Amino acid sequence: MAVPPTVPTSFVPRSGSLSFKNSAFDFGGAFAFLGYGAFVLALLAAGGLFAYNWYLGTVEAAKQADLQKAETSIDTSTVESFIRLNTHLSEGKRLLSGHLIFSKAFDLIASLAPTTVRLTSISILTSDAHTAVLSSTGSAASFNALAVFSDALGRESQIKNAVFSGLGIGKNGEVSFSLTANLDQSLTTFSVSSAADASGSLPSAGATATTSASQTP
Amino acid sequence: MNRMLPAAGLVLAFVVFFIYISPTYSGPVTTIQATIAREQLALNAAASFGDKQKTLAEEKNRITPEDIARLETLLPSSVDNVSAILSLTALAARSGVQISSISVPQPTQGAGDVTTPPTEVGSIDMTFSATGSYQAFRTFITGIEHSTRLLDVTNLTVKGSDTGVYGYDMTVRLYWLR
Repeated sequence: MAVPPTVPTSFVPRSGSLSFKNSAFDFGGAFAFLGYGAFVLALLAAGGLFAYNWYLGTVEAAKQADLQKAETSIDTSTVESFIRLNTHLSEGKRLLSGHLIFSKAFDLIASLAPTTVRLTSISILTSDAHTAVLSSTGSAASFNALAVFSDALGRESQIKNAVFSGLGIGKNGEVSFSLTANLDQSLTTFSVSSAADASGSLPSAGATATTSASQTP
Repeated sequence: MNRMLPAAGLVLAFVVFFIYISPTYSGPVTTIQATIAREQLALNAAASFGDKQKTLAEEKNRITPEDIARLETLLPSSVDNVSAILSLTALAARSGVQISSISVPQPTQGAGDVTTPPTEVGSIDMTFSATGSYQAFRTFITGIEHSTRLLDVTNLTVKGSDTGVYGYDMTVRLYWLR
């Protein structure tokens, strides 16, 4: 029996494009995934940041409290006493290292001057740079005596630039003179060794002075 | 409509990022982080200060009160030139030296050690005139040099005489801790 042409056929031929359609990328879904994903991520990040910010606030408050506690535990008077003591010690040490002593210079001059030379005045002036200048006037029994004194000063390393000037001969042949010299710093400043010497020198200071008194004023 | 929602999500994500996340992270969060870092440094310093304070206290306790007193005598906290003059007068009497005059200049602003940059030590120069034998003078000068209070004889002039009694002019410098 022939089928009338008006009756629709149930047969739908498969087209070749169907397989292509199934394997095609779903742009819509991907876009939706991207959009929703970004939104969710943004929300999570915002929430996390809010929580982190809150956490940092509490940490800061705790640290500030600790810091205030530490600050109040600092006793400023104790700190000042430490600073004062440190300054006291360091300045005392500094001043002691430059402490001026002239005894050694007097002892040395007395030991160098022959008995035929008499110093009538001695002046030692120091500058702020701790350089000491010796100025002296005196008289010698003869030029030879003065030469001996000059030679002794020249050989002494702690007395530098010894210059005799104002030489004059008196009625009885005595030679008057003026002397200027620079004293080495080691001769005029305190040292531990000189302190050790001095600890035992006080009783003998008189003896030294007696010996030197014949030459020095 | 289905296509609009993901687009709106994307837009909202951008809005959230640029309106809240980025400004908050680069603003308050960074500031608080820096503050916390500074406070942590300060706390570390406070901790090391505490340790140092403890160490210093132990070291200070090892110095005997007698040594502290000697240090205070060596370099007093005030000029106290009157007691220094009294001590020098007593020393002169013990040594056999007669002090004839003492001159203390008016202190000037900033008077003090000019050999070094400004320090916390003040100084004042006193000038003395005295007479006595050479032996007495040597005893006197040795006493000054070994005084428990730091005294520097900065200038000294000895004038001879035929009588055995000499004249002495000297400048003594006193120090104190300001």
